[in-house]
Amino acid sequence: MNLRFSPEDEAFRQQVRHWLRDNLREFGFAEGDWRARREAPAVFRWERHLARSGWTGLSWPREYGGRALPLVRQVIFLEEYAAADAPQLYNSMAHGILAPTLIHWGTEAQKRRFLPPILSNEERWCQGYSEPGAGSDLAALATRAVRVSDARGDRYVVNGQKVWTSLAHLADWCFLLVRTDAAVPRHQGISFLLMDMKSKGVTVRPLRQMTGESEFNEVFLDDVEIPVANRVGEENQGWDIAMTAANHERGTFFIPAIAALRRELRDLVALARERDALKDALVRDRLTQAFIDVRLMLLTAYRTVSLLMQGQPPGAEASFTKLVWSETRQRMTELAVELLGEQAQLHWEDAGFGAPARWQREQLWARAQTILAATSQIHRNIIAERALGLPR
Amino acid sequence: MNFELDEQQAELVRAARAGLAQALPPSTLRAHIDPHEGVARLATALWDWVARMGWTSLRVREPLGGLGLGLTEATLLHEELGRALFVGPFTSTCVFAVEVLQATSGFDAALRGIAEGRVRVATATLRTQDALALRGLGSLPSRLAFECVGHAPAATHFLLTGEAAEDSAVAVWLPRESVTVLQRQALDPTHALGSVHWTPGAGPDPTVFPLSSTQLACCRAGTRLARCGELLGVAERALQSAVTHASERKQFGRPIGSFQAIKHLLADDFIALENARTAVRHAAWSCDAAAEDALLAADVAVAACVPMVRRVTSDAIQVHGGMGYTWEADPQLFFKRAQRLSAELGGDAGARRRIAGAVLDDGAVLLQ
Repeated sequence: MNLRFSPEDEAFRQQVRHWLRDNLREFGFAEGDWRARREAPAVFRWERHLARSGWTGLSWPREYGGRALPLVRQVIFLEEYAAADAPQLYNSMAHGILAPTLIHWGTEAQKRRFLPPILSNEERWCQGYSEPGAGSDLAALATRAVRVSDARGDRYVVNGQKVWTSLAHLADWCFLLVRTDAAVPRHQGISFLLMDMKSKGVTVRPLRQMTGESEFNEVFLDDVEIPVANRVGEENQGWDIAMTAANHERGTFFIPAIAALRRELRDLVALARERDALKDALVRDRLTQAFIDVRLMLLTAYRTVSLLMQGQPPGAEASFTKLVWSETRQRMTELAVELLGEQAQLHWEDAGFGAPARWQREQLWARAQTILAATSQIHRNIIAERALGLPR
Repeated sequence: MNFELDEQQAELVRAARAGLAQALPPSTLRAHIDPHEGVARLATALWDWVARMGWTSLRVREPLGGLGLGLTEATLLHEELGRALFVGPFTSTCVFAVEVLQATSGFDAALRGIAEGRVRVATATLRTQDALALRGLGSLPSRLAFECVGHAPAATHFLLTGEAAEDSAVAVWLPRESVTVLQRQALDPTHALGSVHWTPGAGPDPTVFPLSSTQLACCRAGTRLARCGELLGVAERALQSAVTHASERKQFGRPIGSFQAIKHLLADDFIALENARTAVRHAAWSCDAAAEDALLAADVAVAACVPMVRRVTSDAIQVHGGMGYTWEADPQLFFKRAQRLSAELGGDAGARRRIAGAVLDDGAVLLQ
């Protein structure tokens, strides 16, 4: 056991920190201007800048343009990125979930076609999993893909509807789960396809969220044609592939979110100080609990990273990362909004550009976080069944 | 950066688990808790074996015949002791007394005695006025009395410590012959408890020696961490018993563990346990590595462990239903051990207050 970062790792951390400080400023992202850091066109430019500067594909193999850095370096990058309050990335699904899946399961042709534009952030991806009838029970998905082979080629014709598809309105491509066999047990009849969002028959309809924004969408698929060459893995192997992808999600996908909590905690304490609430014993204790929660979450993430670095699968503790993160964040934003006092009545879009408006928005967004990427209830089932071995 | 145990640490855990399963099976434990006086005899009887396992020398420095291992190893061993509901003055002797006696000089013989398994130590905290008299005036009070001293009936020596003033503390070392011990019945039936009285003239005079408050605080932090390790083991065992029962017990034609009300309860217990494990490992490493925020890390471990073990051991009773409330079923033992250790830790309020001070009042920790 040794929880110190090596001098080389610390040097890397300094390099990342300085680069981010200089480049965020150069890019016109003023410190504390959180709204500017959410504007899509600016973030797209920033994402391409990151790629050109070599900050994408840190842990990918060199043959696909990656830097093949050890996982700990990627973790350091993500920590510094969050600490600098750098823009939240639009293409995180591609980097966090699809790319590792393609590197593991994709054909050489698929890797050559799809990995470079992910690396450069020229192509953005969305994830087409949930359906109106398949939320927590994902294996109930009903979007049908029928295989057709004729003079026009070997392809799937897809019909159905996806929902809660984050950023579909801005995505170029979608990784999609479809039913290719309805006659077999449901987990065995699902395939994993890569769909061009410009295909004929794809209709994206934005959904308005309780924040007032529209980031997720309904996606309607009417006779959409997807070449068979765009299928990842074998036909009907899609469930296994989606589950490996979910393992990537469990391992490291939430590290940026956890690292961001540290900054949010700092902001929360600053808010409490500014509102003269630090002398209130109950506020102090709630802040203390938040500190404990955030610190242990990050350290627990290090436990997971330690296992992954030794080539072992993530441990049982990885299964609750997202659960604890989302519930802690709700408690933190609730406290923040309480501290806002009268200002808590204002809609965030009318609350100016400072910290109060940000907390207003975040407390609403935090409600989504215990639902997306499997609800808290599903996560507790998973922990009970997989980590503790309780009967289904 | 690596959170995983090294091979030597993993081997210590394996050997402890296997050894304890043989030396202290549940049947042996049960045979010594009714009537309660039996538990002190069990503690004494187990001690030779503990020494043969090499555990009494764990923290003693190598020149004195010890292994000189760290708090990381000590907490890992405590986890196994907690899992087995080990009986005996292990923490007070092999962690606290060793830390305190090694912080001063002149106790090589006592430390060798501990390492070789001849010395067993019970500890108690001096009242401020007694500490002040001992430290400031160098005079012995007319009497010292302690109502609840853990392991007193099984101890060969007593170590009393206390804060006298801002940065001064004091310690008193007493052999068994100098005190009167009255065996008391402990709430935790796997614990030997006694009231201890000292008056001048009975047996050899006490040895009084000064400590700095910082030294004493470090010794106490290490001891608290060891107890946190023990709490992890108790909680693991309690959670495992709840999972086993919930998987076997059927109602409404199904194992009760298939109901989400039970699943979610135990899932939350698991989360609390694993978070506490993270906290204890990190704190033990921080102390061993003399990290800047080691004391804060130890407080975080206490703040994570105390509420965790209360909920896990309470839930184990709840999940066992009516059986959980019986003397025969084990959850009562886990619950009472957890309560006793939490009391020895002084609860989590002090730890939380210190964390609040470190985090909210100077802010340095947060800004790292």
